[in-house]
Amino acid sequence: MEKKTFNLCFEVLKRFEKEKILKHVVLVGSWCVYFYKYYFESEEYSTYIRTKDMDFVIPIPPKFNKEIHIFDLLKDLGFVEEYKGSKGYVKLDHPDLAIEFLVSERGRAHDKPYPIPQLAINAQPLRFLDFLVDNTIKIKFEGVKIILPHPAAYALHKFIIFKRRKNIDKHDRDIEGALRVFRELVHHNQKNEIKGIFNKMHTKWQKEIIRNLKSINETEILGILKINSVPPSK
Amino acid sequence: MGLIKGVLREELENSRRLKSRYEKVLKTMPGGSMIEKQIKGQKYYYLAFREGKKVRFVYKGKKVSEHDLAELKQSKDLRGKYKRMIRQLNNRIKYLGKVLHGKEDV
Repeated sequence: MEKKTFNLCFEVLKRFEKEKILKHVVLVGSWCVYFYKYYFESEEYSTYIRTKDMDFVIPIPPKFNKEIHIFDLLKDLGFVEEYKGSKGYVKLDHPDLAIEFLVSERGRAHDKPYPIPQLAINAQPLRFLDFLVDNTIKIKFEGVKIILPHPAAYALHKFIIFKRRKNIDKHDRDIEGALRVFRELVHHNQKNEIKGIFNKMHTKWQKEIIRNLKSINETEILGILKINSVPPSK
Repeated sequence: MGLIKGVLREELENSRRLKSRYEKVLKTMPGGSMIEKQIKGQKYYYLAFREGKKVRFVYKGKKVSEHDLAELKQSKDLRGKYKRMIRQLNNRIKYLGKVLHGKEDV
């Protein structure tokens, strides 16, 4: 990752923190792989990522206690507002970073945007995000508190969605990032946490993960997921 | 190699799309500078901006509010920023075009 990309990402996080947005959103996507270094506190953990996408999940119902125009907050950094697709999901675009807001899709699948008037944006509903929002950790980086999915939830989520990717690069990146995070969890003796979070998942999703892991011959991970359930220690 | 080419092609498409977005936004932004003219001891304010080869002056009044000045300054700063972004994207497009097609330029 280039330094300017990181600096821009950090500036966005600082502004969100200052406006009390950050405590009500969960940072998901590849940036998590980078920020997990403050959770693992391990020197061997590789933080390399190659992404410009910065995705935030807004738990429903949104809990922002004041109205902030997100685009106005960031436009002096050079972001332009874009409306993604025909439905009008808001994306804040910049040559080095693209920010998107997501919400958990519930009920029947639809492609209508979810309006978040408190931030003057339309969020994109996507499947499987509740699971990330329900299993989170907090890290502190240079005074900024960031909410991330628990690394086990992150990895398991990626093991579900990588098969749905049409873009082969994203498909490969999903697997690589998930495996890196998963192995670090194992290295930190967090097999019980992994299993605990796995057991909380819907059976249908568990089956999908097992099927997907079989397709990439990840027998070691399959072995860990099939061990007898032990409640998480954290 | 196919994977790398795919990534570069996607980046090229994104850069082109973003460049056109910046250009579109730039067209809608108020440009120019506030000029103060002294005529017979009285101050008059004009918005000066370029239109093709000509520089036009639009009369704004004997007084200009701080708010209008601040807005104009903000717009000017942003225009400068967006122009820099377009330059940056042009370089990226040129580079990616060369890598992907050997000779394609902007």
